[in-house]
Amino acid sequence: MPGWVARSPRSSIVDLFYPVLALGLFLALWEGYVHVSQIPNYILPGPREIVQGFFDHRHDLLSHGPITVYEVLLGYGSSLVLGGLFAVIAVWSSTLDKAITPLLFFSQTVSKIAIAPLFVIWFGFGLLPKVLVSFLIAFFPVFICTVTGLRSVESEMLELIRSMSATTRQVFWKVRIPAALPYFFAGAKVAVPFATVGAIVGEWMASYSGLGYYLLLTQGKLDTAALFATLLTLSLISVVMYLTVLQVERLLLPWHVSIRRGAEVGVTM
Amino acid sequence: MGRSETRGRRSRLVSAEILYPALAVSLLLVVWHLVVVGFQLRSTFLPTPVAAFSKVVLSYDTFLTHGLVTVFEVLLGFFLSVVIGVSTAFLMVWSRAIDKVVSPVLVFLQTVPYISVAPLLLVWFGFGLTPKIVVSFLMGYFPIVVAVAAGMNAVESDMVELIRSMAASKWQIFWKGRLPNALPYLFGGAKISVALATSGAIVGEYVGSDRGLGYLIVVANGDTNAELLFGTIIVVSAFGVSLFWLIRWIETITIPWHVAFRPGGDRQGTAAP
Repeated sequence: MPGWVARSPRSSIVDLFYPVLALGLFLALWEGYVHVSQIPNYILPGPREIVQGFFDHRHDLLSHGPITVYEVLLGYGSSLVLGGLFAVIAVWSSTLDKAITPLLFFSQTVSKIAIAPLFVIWFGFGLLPKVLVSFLIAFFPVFICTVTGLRSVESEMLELIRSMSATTRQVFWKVRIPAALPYFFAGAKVAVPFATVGAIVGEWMASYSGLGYYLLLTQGKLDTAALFATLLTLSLISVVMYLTVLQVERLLLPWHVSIRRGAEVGVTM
Repeated sequence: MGRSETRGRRSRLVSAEILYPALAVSLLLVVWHLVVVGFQLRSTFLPTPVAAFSKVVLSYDTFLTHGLVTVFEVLLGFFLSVVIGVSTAFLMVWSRAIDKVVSPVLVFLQTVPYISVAPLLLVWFGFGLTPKIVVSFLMGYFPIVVAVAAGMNAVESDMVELIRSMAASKWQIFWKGRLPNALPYLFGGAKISVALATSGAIVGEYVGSDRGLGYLIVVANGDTNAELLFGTIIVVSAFGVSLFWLIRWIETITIPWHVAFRPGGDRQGTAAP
């Protein structure tokens, strides 16, 4: 069983030993290779140079970073809220389900990355187009996972609680929502890198600020150490968001994490 | 349940599955057309669906030339994701030591927004097809690893013990037990992976290229040529749907035993970023 499925939180320090060792080895080899091969640093800077790049460009990273974080958080936040809400609506009312769900599925056939330029034409160079792309990409995994979760309630359970004369609202709050939460979080985890990708692509279409913009800037200057530093910053944003979602899940669903099997593989559900 | 009864139910299901979306989509197109005509929107802002579709038909040779480039990039990138992804999952399930090192790293690596390495790849590989294929591969890789590893591990332990008690070697357990069990998961992952691979190739073309559908989008964007933009969006979408159905078709051929009783839960695979 892969470690990320079976790992219990307590053994995580021991589990981290080998990956950290492998990472250290990898960085040492990289640094060694860069020195021995005399490869030009605009092609491949060594890890030390990249750390230097972080330091040298810290002001740029700190001024562009928050802009991207803001875009990602707005897009991601709205995808969580609206994805969850639409899922509840679709499961609550079968009429609305028939009207909304086919349209949502159809909309998924349209590549959001391909329509990003359209948002520039419609909404200009500001914040909105980036947030919108980020939201559109992250929305669907949240929606589809939550719908699956809300529908995952066993029918015996439903009949039991109904036989105890529970109202529809009670069924929803006490049975369906708790059952859907693990699925919701699975979708939320998948959506993290999607939201980041959306904001970056949005910035690439048209902008003069943000880490996506800065990435292209450093590329144009062939300042590859700074490019690596920007890449790492973007990855860091994504990883921190992911860990936050993981932590919130642990706090909200302590009963679930202990018995979770493969919740990390949310996409494949 | 009788066989004919099953078939009747299925055909009704299919018609409902096609009828409602078709109705919804036609409604959407009609509303779109009426909005453009009614509000007299400029065609640079929003062309009518008729104009967008006729653009596809009239400039089909442009779309074909550029489309084939993108198809090539996506298929090669996706192929690499499947081959390398399945191998990684195989190694992780095969050896506990590899799994211990790779798994925790993968959890973090899969949250990295891979599209952002496109500018770096451009520095490394130039303006040719290679950077697009690599981004496409990186985007498509993780869903495959995660899905296949999960599938190989989802074999019931009773099953493994049973074949082990019949003196099956580790290799045989793999081929006859784990691998067939992983196939449905592989196809689930492949449907997501192919959509991501498509996005990867297109974004790779955004960053620097002189051909491909992503290039067409950049050109249309620069010229504020909304008809060309919409035409390309239509072609990209059609391409994504075709790939999805292609994988589904391969799935029905390869694992017919599985598709038959699957409760129509694979539609989310069309989710193209």
